Amino acid sequence: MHDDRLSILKGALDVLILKSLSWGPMHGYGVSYWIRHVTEEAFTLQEGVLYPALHRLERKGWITSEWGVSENNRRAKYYELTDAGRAQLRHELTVWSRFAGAVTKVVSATRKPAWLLRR
Amino acid sequence: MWRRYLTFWGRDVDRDLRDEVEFHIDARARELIDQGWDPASADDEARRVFGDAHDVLVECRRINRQFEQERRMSAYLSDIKDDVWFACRQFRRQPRYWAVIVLTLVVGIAASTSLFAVVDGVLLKPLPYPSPERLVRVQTWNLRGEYVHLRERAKTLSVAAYYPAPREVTVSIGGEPARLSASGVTADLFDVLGVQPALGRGFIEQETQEGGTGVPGGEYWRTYGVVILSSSTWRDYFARDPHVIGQTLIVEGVPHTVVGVMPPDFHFPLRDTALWFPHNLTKGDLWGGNVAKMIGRLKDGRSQAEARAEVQTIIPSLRSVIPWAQFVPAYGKDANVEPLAESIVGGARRVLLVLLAAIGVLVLVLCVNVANLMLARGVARDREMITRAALGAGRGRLTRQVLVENLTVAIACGAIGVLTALACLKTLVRFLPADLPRLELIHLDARVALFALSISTATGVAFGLLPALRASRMGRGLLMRGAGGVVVESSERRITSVLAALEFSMAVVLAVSAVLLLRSLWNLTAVDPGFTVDRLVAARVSPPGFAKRDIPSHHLFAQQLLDGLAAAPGVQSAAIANAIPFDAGLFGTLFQIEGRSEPTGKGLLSANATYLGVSTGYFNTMDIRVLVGRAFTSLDGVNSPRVVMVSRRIAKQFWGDESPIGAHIRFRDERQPLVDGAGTLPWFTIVGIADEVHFADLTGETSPMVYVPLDQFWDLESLRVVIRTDDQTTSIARTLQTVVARIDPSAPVSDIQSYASRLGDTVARPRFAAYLLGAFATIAIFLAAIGAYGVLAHAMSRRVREIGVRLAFGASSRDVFGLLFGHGMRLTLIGIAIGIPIAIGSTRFLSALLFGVEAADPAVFIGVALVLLLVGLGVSYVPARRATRIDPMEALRYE
Repeated sequence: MHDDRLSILKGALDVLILKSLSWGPMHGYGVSYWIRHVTEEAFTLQEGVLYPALHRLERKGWITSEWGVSENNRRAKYYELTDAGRAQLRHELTVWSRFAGAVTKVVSATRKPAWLLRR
Repeated sequence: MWRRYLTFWGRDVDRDLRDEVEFHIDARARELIDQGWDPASADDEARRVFGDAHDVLVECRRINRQFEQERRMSAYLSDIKDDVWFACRQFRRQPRYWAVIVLTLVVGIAASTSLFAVVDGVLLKPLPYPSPERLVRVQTWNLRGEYVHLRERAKTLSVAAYYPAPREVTVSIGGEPARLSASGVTADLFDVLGVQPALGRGFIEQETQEGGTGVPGGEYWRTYGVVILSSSTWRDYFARDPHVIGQTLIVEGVPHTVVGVMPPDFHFPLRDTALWFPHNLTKGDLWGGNVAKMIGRLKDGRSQAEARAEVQTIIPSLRSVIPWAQFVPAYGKDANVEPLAESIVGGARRVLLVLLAAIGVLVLVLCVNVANLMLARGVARDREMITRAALGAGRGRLTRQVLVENLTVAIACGAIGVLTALACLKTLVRFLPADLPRLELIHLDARVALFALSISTATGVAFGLLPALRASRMGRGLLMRGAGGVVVESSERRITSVLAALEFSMAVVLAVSAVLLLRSLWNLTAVDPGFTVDRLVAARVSPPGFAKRDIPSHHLFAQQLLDGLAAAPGVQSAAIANAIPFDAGLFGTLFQIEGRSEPTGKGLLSANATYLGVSTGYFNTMDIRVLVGRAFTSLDGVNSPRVVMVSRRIAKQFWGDESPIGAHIRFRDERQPLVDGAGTLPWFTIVGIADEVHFADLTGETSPMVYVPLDQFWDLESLRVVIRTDDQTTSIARTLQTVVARIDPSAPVSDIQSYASRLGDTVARPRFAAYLLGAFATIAIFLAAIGAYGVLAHAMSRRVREIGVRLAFGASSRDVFGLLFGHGMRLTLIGIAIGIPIAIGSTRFLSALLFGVEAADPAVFIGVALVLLLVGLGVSYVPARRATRIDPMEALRYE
């Protein structure tokens, strides 16, 4: 049986994380939950992969972390976008929409190119 | 603080991450339970979708490590940047101190770099031919036949030959006469060197056979009317015409066809060789020596030793076919094979190596001097270092800061030094003796730049290391001891003193060498050449095709020229000869004395001499004394009885105390007008003895000379004119040109030069070496003085408090004076004492360059020692004198 779910690229994961955090501080589980629900579980994502990515973004200075208390009173690490992270997100989003737009135009094209008509 | 935190933070990461993962799985399981999973399988499912928690941990650690490394690297780089900035601020704060250091380094690096460029070009670069290591010089007596025999029989190498002396020919292109340097080469010379003409072809075998027509270079040098041009001749006279092949060039009045053009960087045998002609060589011609110098290329798989063994077998075996070999037992014994590169560089090697060694010593003095200045300043900076250490700078940090500071200076100075060298190199090359081989290879290239970079880095590290180590000790030691005043350790005082003494030693070595070379130069210029140089001017007049004209026309031209000059203004007297002293070329001949036979009793004794054809006014014009008998007169004409004059040396050698006047000699030269047309060599009667003359150079012995009246002489290729002017004006050149133009407008007048400058040229190499070494020695003495002064001045300023105490306790100002003066004199004397044995050891290598002075001349050593002692006295006196004026009260308050 063919699996419809997509594997995810490392670079794309960074954008997803930054985007999730743009709503406000979240813990790792929150980020994963939000992505799953927004994409309607379209990605095959080992949930653990999220954590190294969070780690890397933190060391790059795009997000910061702080231990806090979760909704059900448990100790959880909350991540928050920094100013640099916000700028990075804006940048990634432009790149992404240009890329996606270009790919969409190609894959949804309906007319055969004129120079092929001659055949 | 932040960095420390980050470093520690790494340790907690594992636990943090585990907590985080547990929280995630817990929350996920709860989510699943809400969706209706049973709690037991919900936890398993949560773990499954999470993936391997251990992998996550490992990956996070890797990320941490990677970032940590990058951070450390960038922190290090930013520290270095800070250090460089700090160094730059330092330079601004003490401009005079740094100016001295920068100046010292720039001078040192520029001088050593440009001299290295010279040595590299002349000595180190390989010959500009393919596989240059296979090229050899074949050392023989350079007979024409030797080459043919060797070529037929040698199996270890292929040989080629060329005419060994510089030779000029008159060329006319578009009516303008010019003199160009020419060479005769065998057809295989270009193959042996591995360089082919860029245009056209080389010579073919047939063109080097006996029997050609044109005669550009006299009898030995027949041509088939073909010529090959150098690239610069092609450029200057044919405007790089691509269709030059087949065009005609008039050489000595004879049309020659251009068959080839050599590539631009081909300079063989001489730098300015402009034309190549075929050099014909005959197997049977084993008469004249020095007409065919040989080079060879080792055949594949053959070694130089094998080639040498073969040449040393073949050449001596020629004794059986060489007609005169029985009279010359030495023939063939000195045949040899040596690398061509060595043979080309020849005598220049020693001069350049001495200069290179000298520059090495000078750079060493520079380094020592700068190191000493830095060390002295290091002492002054102790307080700064202590403060920095107290504020938390580590040992490594302080060491690095000092090193970076010094390297910054060194590399900046290196760059300025290279630029200076670049600017000076052209001038330096012009200042170099023109007879130095391979001057055309001298330029600043990557090798030279690399050399400059390495010496500047090396100096930077060398002179920076001591102060850097000191700084690192400061950081540790003095911090512990507290800020109770700066303590100067006696070991450091000793180091600076030792370094200053060392500068004196090296100054001794350089000064002794320089004085030896200068004295040798002085001796050289004081040599009496045998004639009076004052107001004597030499020139060359070379009517085209002169060598080919018949003898009467030679004499006619010479007479017309002499008559013209006699009537010209400014000419006191004038004479013509085929060659004059210090001419490069081969003017030797074999002569026999009537009635003298070989000790073995076989045939007549043959002896070698330089023979000159001279006009009647020659002895008078040159001011060469006629000792016995008479000089030539106008009566010694072409049809008169043949006469010669000999030099005193020949008279002494062959006639001893008897008078040679009236004795008969003859020349073994078949080109002269023979008697009765029957092939008999004519006898010449000796009519006079002339005083000795240095013909070839000033250093050797005077040459054995035989003079023939110009009218009876046959070997005239161009005219050498000597004129004694009646004042120092330079208009004599124009006078001469006017006189010559009136006789033959197509005859070029060249090489117009006063004899004083001709004489100067013969000592160009020793003069260059002596002046350069003199300059080095002066700089070294100056630096030694600065170094010693610096040490003493610092010693004084560091001992102000001590001196104050001494004075307060009743020491007299004399004692104080003695304290410092003694210190200065001690290091001067130790320096000189160390320097003299080193100088004795090293000047031995100079002895081959010295003339009229011993390498171990005690007067030179004593003189140099005294001069340096005086320098030491002066340098010690000033700070010591200043120390006596210290006010004890103030000194005690001094910090």
